[in-house]
Amino acid sequence: MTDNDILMLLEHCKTRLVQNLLAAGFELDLATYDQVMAVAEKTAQELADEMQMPDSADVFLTQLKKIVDRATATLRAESDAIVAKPKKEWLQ
Amino acid sequence: MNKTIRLFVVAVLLVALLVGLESASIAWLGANARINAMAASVPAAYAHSSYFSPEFLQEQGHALDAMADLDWDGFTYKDFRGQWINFDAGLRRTTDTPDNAPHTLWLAGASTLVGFEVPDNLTIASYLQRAVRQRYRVVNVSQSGATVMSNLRRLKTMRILPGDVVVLYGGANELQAFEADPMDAEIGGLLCQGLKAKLPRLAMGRAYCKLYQGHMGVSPVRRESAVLNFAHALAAASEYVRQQGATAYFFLQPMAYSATPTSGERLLLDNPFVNDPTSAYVARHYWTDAQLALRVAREYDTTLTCVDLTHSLDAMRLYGESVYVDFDHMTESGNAAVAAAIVHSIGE
Repeated sequence: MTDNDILMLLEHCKTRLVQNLLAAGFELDLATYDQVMAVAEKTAQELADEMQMPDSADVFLTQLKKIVDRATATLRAESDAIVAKPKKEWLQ
Repeated sequence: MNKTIRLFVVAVLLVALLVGLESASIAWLGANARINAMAASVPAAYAHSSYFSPEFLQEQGHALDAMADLDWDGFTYKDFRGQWINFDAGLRRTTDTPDNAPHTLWLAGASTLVGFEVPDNLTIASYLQRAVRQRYRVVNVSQSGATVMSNLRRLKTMRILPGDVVVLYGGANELQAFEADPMDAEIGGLLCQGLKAKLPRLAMGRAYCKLYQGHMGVSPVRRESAVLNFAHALAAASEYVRQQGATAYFFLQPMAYSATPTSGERLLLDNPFVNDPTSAYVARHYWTDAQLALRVAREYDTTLTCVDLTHSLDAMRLYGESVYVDFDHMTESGNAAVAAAIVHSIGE
């Protein structure tokens, strides 16, 4: 997996996390953004570690979707935790 | 009064009602048209734009009308002349182009690259041209509503030479391939989708869709096929460009829901006459599908460089700068940042 591929996973995780947060009415500001991105980075790295190169692109999509679904669940839990915490606590 | 006459009266009343409703819808759509919403007060994204004026908005409207009927496959050549917005033979004018450049940088995307929101010198293409200076001549072949596949068709009519660079840019229009799923959508969403597809000119239908705020419904099967189609199109474009001896890049465009919108942006994002509710809904909920397509495209063609710019404007927006006019169209500060990101990625 190339750096470019990992970067794309990271962007995916960022988007998923932000989508969850915005849907929950959470307001991202400069202070919270970095923290949120750190969560996305950690999840993306975990995904990259799990990923194996498949034989074909169609198989790849199936594999990718499984991994992304799992990541979605992780990010959902993370975003729920972020929304539930008071902002000061989240930043600590 | 016999039955026939009663039926006739009911039919006349029904027609009169429909005509009245259609007229009222036309009037309501006209009164709330995008241009009026934009002119009501200076949108935040234009806060520092000296050109922004009723005259600019009027010219923008004329340009949109004039270029609306361009035909992708037939490539209709058409000029438009304005103070701020110009098209030469169907192509949005790029400023600061060199007289002689060894290679061409082809820029192919949709309305965000056409850039009706800004004058000629402030489009992404013009910022790119100033950045690459004499090394490339930037030719912007973008067309509103284009997808990667329609861009590829247009690129095939151009003379791409070895050493050229082809920058494909977009994503939002690929997601429009999603359609309502009868099993998933609320009935109101289905009605809106049906009216848009079958009776696009019906004012009542358009007015209804502006008011509809519910769930549009997207089928998982259609989502998966849209992802695969998008990835296939990217791979096909990459292969064609490579056959010409040129290099292809794809940039997934940034969009407004990548971070919390600024308060200024929110005013327009919440206005259904400025920010199309269906397109915004799909972008807000399914953008990650476009991101998946990039990864899949890289499996089809490992030589294609895909760059995801979804979050590339987050920082400036978090610092309070309003960039977006709707969910994906930007003014000059966003265009400049995107051009800088493209230049950085292609190593120029």
